Amino acid sequence: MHASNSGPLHWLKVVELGSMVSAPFCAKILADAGAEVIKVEEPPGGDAARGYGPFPSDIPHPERSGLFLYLNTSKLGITLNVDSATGREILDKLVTEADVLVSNVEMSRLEGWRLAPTSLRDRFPRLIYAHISPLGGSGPYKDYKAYQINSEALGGVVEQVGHSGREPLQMPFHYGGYEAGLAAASAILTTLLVLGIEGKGQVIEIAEADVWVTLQTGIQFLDYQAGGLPTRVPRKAEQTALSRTYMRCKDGYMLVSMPQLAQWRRFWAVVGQPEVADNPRYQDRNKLPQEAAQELRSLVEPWFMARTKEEIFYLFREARVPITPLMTVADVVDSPQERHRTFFTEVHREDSGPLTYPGVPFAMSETPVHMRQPAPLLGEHNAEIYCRRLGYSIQELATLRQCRVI
Amino acid sequence: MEFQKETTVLGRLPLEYIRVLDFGTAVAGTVPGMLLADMGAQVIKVESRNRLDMLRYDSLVLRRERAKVREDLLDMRTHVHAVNRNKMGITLALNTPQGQEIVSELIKISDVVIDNFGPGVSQKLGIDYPALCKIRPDIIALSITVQGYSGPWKDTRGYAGNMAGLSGLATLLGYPDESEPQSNFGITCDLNAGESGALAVLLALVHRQRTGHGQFIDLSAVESTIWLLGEPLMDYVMNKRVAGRQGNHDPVLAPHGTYPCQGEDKWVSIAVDTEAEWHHFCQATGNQQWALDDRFLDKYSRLKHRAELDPLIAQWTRGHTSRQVTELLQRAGVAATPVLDPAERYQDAHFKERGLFVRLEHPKSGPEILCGNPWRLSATPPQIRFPAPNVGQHNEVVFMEILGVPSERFQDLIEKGVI
Repeated sequence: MHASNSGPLHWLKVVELGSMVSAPFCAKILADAGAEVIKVEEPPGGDAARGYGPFPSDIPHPERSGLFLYLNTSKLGITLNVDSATGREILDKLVTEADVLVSNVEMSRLEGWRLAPTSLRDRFPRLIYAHISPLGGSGPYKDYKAYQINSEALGGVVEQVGHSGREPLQMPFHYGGYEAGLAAASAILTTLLVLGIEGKGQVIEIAEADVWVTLQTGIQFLDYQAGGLPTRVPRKAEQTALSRTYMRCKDGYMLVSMPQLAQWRRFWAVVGQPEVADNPRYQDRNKLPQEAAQELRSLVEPWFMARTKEEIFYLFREARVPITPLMTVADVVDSPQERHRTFFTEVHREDSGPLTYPGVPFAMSETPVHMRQPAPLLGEHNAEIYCRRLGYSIQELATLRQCRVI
Repeated sequence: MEFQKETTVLGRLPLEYIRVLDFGTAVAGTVPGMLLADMGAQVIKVESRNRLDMLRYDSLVLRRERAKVREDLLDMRTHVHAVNRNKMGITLALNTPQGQEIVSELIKISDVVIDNFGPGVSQKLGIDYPALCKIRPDIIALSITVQGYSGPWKDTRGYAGNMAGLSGLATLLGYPDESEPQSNFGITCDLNAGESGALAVLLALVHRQRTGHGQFIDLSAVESTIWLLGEPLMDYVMNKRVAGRQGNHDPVLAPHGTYPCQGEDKWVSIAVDTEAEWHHFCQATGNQQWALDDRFLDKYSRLKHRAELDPLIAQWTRGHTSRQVTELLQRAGVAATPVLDPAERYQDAHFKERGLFVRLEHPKSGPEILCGNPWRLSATPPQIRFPAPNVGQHNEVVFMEILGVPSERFQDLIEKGVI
């Protein structure tokens, strides 16, 4: 058993034709796992995420977009105009050398470039080709236009965020794009295992809406068949019975949840009222009358209000009760637990200065997965890929640029 | 264009040569095994009779009227069925010498061991990574905990709602004009942990295929959600700005949101990006005057005047069903989709055609509809093959057929309460 720094995918070659979130996040996972990922960006502006932000001091700069920097760690970056015939020739050469191609470019554009997955596969039988889209390549909605909120509306998440009585809400910040990218990465790894045995590549299709329907909301689908779960969450659901509810404390909120009887008993011991645990009035916790539920809250409200999140969290960790703080993103970045796990890494890059990036949520003992280098500048690796690998001279590189091929 | 199935579908499942010992419980702990099982792995769910998976008590009962005896209810729970499909189920008491002996025999023939016991527990049970390695040096072990195997907060107990709070996600959800935290506890955080766990196991399997080496994976459920929150984290890192509830706001799309339609609690989602989309939107809805309105002339103005634009749109959408709005706007090249409830999703032609729902027959609760797996592989697609196991349903198959335990020993283990 030995630890190596090269990552489980150090031998893998990936080409990414992607922008914004889903395909770049998928490729980032592979890159952080050690794969060589060549990110192909269309000139002149490259990945739209470069213009998205957030930016330091809110000053836009294509090399300083937080979204781009986070999603494109560990990758090599080149510019390539795939609309040009020469550009397509070059892409073919890159794909010839690659094991995996991942893309979230619209299918209509890919077809125009003769890069529809099935035609590409005929030419490259070992290739694993993963395509990510909001709604997928089949079905009545395949030509629908959809942004994040639209896939989520179909997929069911929109009915779960927010509460009844007013508009359903999205999952913000491109959450769905990350989910689709995560699914694509796992699907690619599965096909790599097949490739290792059968020597055959495959086409992978990931639709964001599918991921919502089958996994993110699908697990609860049986609850509807059993006649439970209201479709919309009622306002102030379970706010009264000290069960899956938020309690205010001195400097914020704690989430109170203790489904098991043993946890219930330990809770009342911690708050100094052990007799309540045995009080028959509160025994049937799932069916408490309103006044009883409200009484329970009043019994503990002062205890919570007198203490901070940190104090309360410490007490209930010790007591093994699932009562945890409502953390802001600031709390998360500054968290001592995450500092211990070195989940956030500080990276210095010329253009952006020192920045702290989130890492991956697991530690692998033999093949660690982590950022290997910062995100590439636009066209940063043009010389390396075009000249050193593909054999173009520096002069030819200049001509390619003038002809708007790169 | 449709993705065509490979002409030579391998007719096999990609992970059919992998065996997984799945000690996971609840949702976060069981989803990695579920995803691997969907892809063909032989996943054995191990439960102790004294401490069954809490989902067997906690979730709703399917078709209660079909229960013949009280114990049947343990096998008829919704969440158990959802996350344990494609798995075999055995019972085993690990806190006995015979239990320890037989679990070693199981480990020897398994490739992957998954648990979400909490730090220290697997060590007490004699199945932590060092112990596993002694039995099978190339074992891959995944341990899922709320916050990680070590650290000042390693003893955190929590479920999906706690994870939403601990990851920062909960502070980002909800209506900006409401002051109380949103008390909505979907299971997204559980799924993120499960999906990240499956990803990590797959990485380890790929590495093992090439090198023959296994390894230990320490996964934090909370971090499995944190890593999906790139923008607000980077905004805090760069600008010390703490993002709050976002509502339906989008920084670059306007209009953007959900709008009320005809019927009880029916909504449509609409998102507009370019000026061309905006003009088509105004045209298609018969509201050409909006395109000439000073307040809505370009995206910046539309963002600024959202509070005035949204009610106007709602006024229009209220006169139509969500399907009508969707078809009208999509024909005009504008992004709109109906907000679907579970029944509507099931009946929707798009999801039907994509085969996302699978009908299975469970031996106790009867017919049920499960959601499938979204990893569409052309040659070796996932399959939902059989329903979740009843308690100890596969004891004979696993111990006698797979492990080869002779029937006298098997009976003895049952009598002693080990199985």
